Amino acid sequence: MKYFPLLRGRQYDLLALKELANGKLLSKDIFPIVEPIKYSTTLKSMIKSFCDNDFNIGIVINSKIGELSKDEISQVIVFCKNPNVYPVLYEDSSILSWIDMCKKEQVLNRFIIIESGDKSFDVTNSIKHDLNILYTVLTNQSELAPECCNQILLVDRFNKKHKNADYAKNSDEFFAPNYFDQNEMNLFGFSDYTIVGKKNEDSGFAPRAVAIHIVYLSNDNTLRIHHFVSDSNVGMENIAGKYYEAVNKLKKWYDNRDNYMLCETPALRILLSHADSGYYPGLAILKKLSIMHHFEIITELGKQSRCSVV
Amino acid sequence: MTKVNQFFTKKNILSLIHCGINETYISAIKECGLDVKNKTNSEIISEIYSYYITKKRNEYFYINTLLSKLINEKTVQNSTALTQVRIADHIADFVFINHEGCVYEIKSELDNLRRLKYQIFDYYKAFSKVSVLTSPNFYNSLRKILKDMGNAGESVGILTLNKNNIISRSFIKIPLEYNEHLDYYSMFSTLRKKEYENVIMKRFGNIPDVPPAFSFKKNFELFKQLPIKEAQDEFLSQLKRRNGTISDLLLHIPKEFMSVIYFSRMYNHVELINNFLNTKFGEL
Repeated sequence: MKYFPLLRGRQYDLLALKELANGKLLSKDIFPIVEPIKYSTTLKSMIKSFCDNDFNIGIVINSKIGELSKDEISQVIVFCKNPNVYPVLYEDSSILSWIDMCKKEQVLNRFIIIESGDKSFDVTNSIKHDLNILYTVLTNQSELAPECCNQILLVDRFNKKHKNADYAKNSDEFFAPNYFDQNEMNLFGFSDYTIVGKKNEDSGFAPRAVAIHIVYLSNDNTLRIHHFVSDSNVGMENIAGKYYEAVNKLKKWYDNRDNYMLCETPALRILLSHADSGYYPGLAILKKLSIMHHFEIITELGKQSRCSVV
Repeated sequence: MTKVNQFFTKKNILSLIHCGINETYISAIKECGLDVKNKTNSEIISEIYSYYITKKRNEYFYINTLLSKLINEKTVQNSTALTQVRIADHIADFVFINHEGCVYEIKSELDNLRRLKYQIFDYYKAFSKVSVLTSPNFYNSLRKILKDMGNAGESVGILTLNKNNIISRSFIKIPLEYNEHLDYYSMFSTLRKKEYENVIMKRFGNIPDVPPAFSFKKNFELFKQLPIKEAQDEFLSQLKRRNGTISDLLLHIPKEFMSVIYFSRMYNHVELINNFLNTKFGEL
């Protein structure tokens, strides 16, 4: 079983991926898919890190949320000539023209298709004889075809709230089954939107509350997510103080955790050190560390499942 | 009408002064139904501005009109204007600071007055003078709301913007100084970290040596030791540094561009802007 997390390509997503690749903290069970928002230096350097460290990554060519010009998308397609970089396409009305463009650029013929669920447009049957579709990402479990063996199920696991303060109402939730322990369905892998969620919201304003989202493996072998939320959430001032409140809650939870819980990662250790020192890294670094922790936990899960098979 | 939000922007002006013409300019000309033959860019833009200001005034026009009223030979070089300043739970549309600070709350015919009372009470937590710039249609409703606000309401100034988009020459009601609601926390939390550190350093000689998580709390403890009006003076002094004082260059700029040049800090481009404006359409 493989894990194909889908990230929106925001700055903190890209920096997290870059650091994971450079630190060789990813496992080969993880195959991130990035939907670029801008054709930025960070996007390019992240892709380079993946190539330099021989990790695979998928890049969405026909992004639904991106602000890339046609020229910039062409540049992204050129990256897909690298064996570590896989073109990913949403199955929509634009797919055929993008496939043509990929062929023009002589991109390696291996694609990942994300099915849109739009029944009026189904390209896969018409093109699959011509295209090497490595994986098909399905957004609906009922679309699973028993005869196919390269299907990935995409589910948005993150229960996104309108305001950070709302996460305190239900601070511990189910996140996902242990992905590497699933063999009932005819799936090659699982996908989700990590701890960011599918909804593409970013008001740009400073939040009133600071929330830290930490995924862990609980003793019933499921992935759960715990939300650590600051207390003084009335105004927008003193974000550093609010971060201190949230990260101290994380430390208390960690110190009192059940021994069977799997939650310790290099990223988590960095967050815990902030509780001791009163250091404030900034919200973007917090998001980066939270995403890194998520990937590191899943990496650890993958390692454990291989050990248990042996 | 979405074009109006794109026209008076730094991005569009930079494009026009370098290229002479662009899609936004052409769309605006079409939308306004203008004949551009033999006209200078200055004349055309003045017509575009007049068209938009009568059809559907948005915030740019109110702020621009207010700024052009407040700027004169006396106020340049020692005044600062700011927009969208957060004070407690509300955001002040426009703040003007010279030897004193005044909040201007804009209530156009597109707004309603439901939240006004709460906005004003919040503004008085950091500023001693508050005025409302409004349409004459709201004048009576406004007077009623202010009457119900006791001494605070009696202190609020009133300016009106008539249908020709001219702010009344003088205040219909002059703002009076009102200090009863001044609040240390509201002033302090409006300041950025560097700003409140500047205040503490100036008044106490050093900044508390604490980790970032405790910086706000420890600096605030010192700030609230100052007499409240002195705390306000320091607060205003820091806000005044945010946009820089208004340059006398603004006195020589067509009023249509005043806000965008000041708030986007485009003083370096004034010469190119004037060059573009004095050129006939399409001849740059």
